[in-house]
Amino acid sequence: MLAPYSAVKVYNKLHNAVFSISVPPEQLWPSTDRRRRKSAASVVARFSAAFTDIAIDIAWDSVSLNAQADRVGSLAQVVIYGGLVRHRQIRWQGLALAIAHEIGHHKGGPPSHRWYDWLSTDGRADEWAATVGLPAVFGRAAPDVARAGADQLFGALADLVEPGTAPRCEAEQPCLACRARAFGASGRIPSRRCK
Amino acid sequence: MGLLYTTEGTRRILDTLNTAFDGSDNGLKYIRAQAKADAKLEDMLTKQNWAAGHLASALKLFPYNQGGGGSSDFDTDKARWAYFLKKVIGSQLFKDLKKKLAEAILSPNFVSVSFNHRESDSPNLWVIDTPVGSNLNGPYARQITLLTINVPAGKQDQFDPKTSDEPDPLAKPPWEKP
Repeated sequence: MLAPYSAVKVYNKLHNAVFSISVPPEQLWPSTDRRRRKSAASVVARFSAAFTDIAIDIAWDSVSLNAQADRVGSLAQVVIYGGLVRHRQIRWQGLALAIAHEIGHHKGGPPSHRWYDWLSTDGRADEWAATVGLPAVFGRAAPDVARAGADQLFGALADLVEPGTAPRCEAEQPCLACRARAFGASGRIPSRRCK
Repeated sequence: MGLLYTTEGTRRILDTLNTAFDGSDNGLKYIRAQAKADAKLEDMLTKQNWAAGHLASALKLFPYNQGGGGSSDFDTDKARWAYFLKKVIGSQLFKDLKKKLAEAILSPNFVSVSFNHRESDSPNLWVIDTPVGSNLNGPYARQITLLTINVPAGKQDQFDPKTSDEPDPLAKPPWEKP
């Protein structure tokens, strides 16, 4: 049997996998950065005005490069974690794409996630973001926002994902490279071979 | 769920638990039948006195890589699971989690349990019971959302090695010991 506390070492590898990817401090703006906060508030305000039934929060102190759609009772929430909104490579377009994707989880409709019938799959949430969410907020500029945002967002994620640890590319959850390409991103994002 | 990017580790844990406790395939019903058939397991659930990893051992629920015909590194996956329960969740939250899980397993008024995770400034547990039909008195589907803090890079050393008086989280449940 494995010696129990080789688990310490295991955990060191694991901390980037359960549950989110932590961004090294040197790649983050401070959580008090005024320009970053002002820019983020402006993007959030635009989405909040367009989708009044969704509560959008930012967890500024978090270092996780992630965002999440969740429901608490009947309240539809979107949480943007600090590692995304404070990341030096992710500008307002990346934040906008992340918010649009998360709202897409709430509003995208079928296909639904296998365990949560209210939650659209990643693939559907991306599709909704590109065709409904971003156009509702940015109009004809939406494709440019999507392209730039995907380069920023998926590029930053790909930089931090250890080779071989990225999820498989499936219809329910496409890989980073496929998702980036679907938004028209041009940056090189390494991935496993996709179907 | 509903994450922008779901890590393999998150997916394994949530898929394993959500599959096992699902209502549509009678997952929870099967677990409940196992508990009723094994007096020691039922006693452990009633008293809510199991140690980290023991219920997972008893129900054979480990988030191993289910692709490729099973994991070649099963002990590592078990170690991850036990370490996660013990160090990331912590004792108070684990106590609350045990109570809510035991309740759902033992009471026929629950038809399924689903699991979710969120990051938070402080660990917490959200439990929402939703009536499955029109009767507000049940049966219910229970949703358990675990809120844990993120461990920043470079802070992993706060997870100290085990001291000699701590129980082995990978040991078999008490009744399986020789």
